[in-house]
Amino acid sequence: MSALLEISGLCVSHARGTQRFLALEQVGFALEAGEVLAVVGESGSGKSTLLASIPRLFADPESRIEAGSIRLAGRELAGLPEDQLRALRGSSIGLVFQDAQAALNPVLRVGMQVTEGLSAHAADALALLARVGLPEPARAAAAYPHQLSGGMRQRALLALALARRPKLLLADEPTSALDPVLGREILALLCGAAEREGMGLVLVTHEIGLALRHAQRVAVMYAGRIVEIASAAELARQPRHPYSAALLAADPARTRRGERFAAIPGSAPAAGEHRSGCAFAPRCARARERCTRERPLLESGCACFFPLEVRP
Amino acid sequence: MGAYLRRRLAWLLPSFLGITLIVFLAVRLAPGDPALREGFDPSSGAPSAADLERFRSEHLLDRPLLVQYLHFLGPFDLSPRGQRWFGGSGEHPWSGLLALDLGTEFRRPHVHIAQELGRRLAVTAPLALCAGLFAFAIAIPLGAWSAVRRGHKRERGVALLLFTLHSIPGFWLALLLVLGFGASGLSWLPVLGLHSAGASELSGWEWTLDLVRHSILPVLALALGSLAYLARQVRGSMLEALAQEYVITARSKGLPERVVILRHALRNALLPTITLAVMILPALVGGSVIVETIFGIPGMGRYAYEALLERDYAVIQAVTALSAFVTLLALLFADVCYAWADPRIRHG
Ligand SMILES: Nc1ncnc2c1ncn2[C@@H]1O[C@H](COP(=O)(O)OP(=O)(O)O)[C@@H](O)[C@H]1O
Ligand code: SF4
Ligand SMILES: [Mg+2]
Repeated sequence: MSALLEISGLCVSHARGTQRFLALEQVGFALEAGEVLAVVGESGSGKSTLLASIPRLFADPESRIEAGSIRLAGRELAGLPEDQLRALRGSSIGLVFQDAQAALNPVLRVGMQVTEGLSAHAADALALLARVGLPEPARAAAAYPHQLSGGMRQRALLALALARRPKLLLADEPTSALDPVLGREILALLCGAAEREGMGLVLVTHEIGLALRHAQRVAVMYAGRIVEIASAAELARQPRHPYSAALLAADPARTRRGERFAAIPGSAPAAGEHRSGCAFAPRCARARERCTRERPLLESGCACFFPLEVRP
Repeated sequence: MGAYLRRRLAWLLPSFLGITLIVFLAVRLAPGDPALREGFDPSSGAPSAADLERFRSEHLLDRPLLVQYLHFLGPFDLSPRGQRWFGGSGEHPWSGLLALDLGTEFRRPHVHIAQELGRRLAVTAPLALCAGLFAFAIAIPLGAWSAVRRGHKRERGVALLLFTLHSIPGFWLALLLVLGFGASGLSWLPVLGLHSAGASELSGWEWTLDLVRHSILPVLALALGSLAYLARQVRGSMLEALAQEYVITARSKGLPERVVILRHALRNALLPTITLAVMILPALVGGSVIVETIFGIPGMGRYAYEALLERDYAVIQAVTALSAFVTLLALLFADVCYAWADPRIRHG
């Protein structure tokens, strides 16, 4: 049986002025039903672009998929006509954004937004809102988004995404706008729903600690590419790509008492900056001559010429 | 919402007084002497020095500006025939805005300005209303369409047209319409007055048709500038709405694009348009001065224009005070509508 979601060779470009630049290059991974895959990376590494390209819902209509394939349960989405793709949105692919305040329409009632587009028998706002643990679903359904607390809004947004029980759920930093305790609750809810209903979940986050805690597998992105993809356990035990290692070392939650918190020196390349060789080379302690000349490709889960040793 | 309303109401009076003061001063600082206008007392030929003296004293033009302003504001008549407490003869103790008395014209002392204004408004208000409704009816769909089709070839043509319409002066537009569609051009529509010469002989619906035909060009001349302005505003707020994340959320539900645009984007984009509805009111009033003068329509705009030529301070002040009052009320009304339409304010 093929995977729920299979992406390969995906290249996506954004427009900037009259220029175009590649925000995603040769991205590929597979996701099984019921699996949680976390995508981590610094801001600007292309995580949101990756999520948006799956249901083709870019913020800017100029953005487009240049190459590659996106298969959902065996069906090719890249190049699928808009009306056919629209039929899959909501029903097969659910989307959760970071900022529920911005993601919910301020002038429409929450209940209406959650049930909008559902068939009459499925349009039970109270049941949908209760499912995501909203304490007073009737009150929440009748409220406008600004009348709910941040956590309640995020739950409502989750209810909206889950309303039609999609096979694939895409969550773009769903907890970054919340305080840590609330964030953990929402994540537990999200991952619980994925597990219970056998959904595949792609969870984008810039916190690697959070990724390791909640996902079975983790993809690390840098400058529009996946530089390492591994099971959460393996990555936590032994990152192979120097960038993954740096991310782990920079995670304040993992820094043991007394140890120094190791920020990654330098900064990520700007969007569209021309790079030959490995994009991480300017910041990499292990970089050698070959790294600036040749580009390392993702092979057996790591895109690096000189990966860190796997501990025996 | 209650507090918001109270704050708005509290501002109403100071705004109104401020506007009347500015109008009052502007009228008086403009060059020209109302007493020397030829329209003044036509029966007696050229006015004698004594006539001028009497005219000035009757209308307080020989008194300090502050006294003149208080007289204009009311409620006490400060003229020689006015309130006894202030040295008048007591013949006409109350007058001015606060006494809801606009007085009589300078040049035709027997004409009560309030009555004349009523007659003139009965002509102007329907024209302005038609122009406003027409402007909105076209501007909202046109603006929304422009935002959705931004950058396409046809949209760029429309944008250029709107920009041109918005930037050319109103009188020029009115003259172009007269030249283009009037007798000197295509000769499709009448360009003088609201009725043909023998209109009173016509049957009911022929009379109406005659009126409509006469109204088309003036209404267009009034509406086009506002229409262009509104359409550009709607386009702007629609573009802003379309860029919001909730639009993507709406698409992520698999809704048809039509629903996304109308229910999710346009609804939000139209909120600021409620306030704009009022912003075009002063433009319509100002426009009616030009349009009624060019098309020879005896409305309030033409009345203001004649009064300006004659330096009839009383009429100019009355017309501007009325316009200011209506505009302020409309602003308040729009604010209330806006607050009501936006749940973030209504349930704030
Ligand atoms: N609509 C857009 N137009 C132009 N550039 C964009 C757009 N969206 C994102 N980008 C650029 O593409 C790169 C990837 O952005 P994004 O996918 O948002 O990264 P992340 O979600 O990891 O922060 C960034 O350099 C960003 O500036
Ligand atoms: S390829 Fe070279 S520069 Fe890039 S991460 Fe590996 S060692 Fe560092
Ligand atoms: Mg992002």
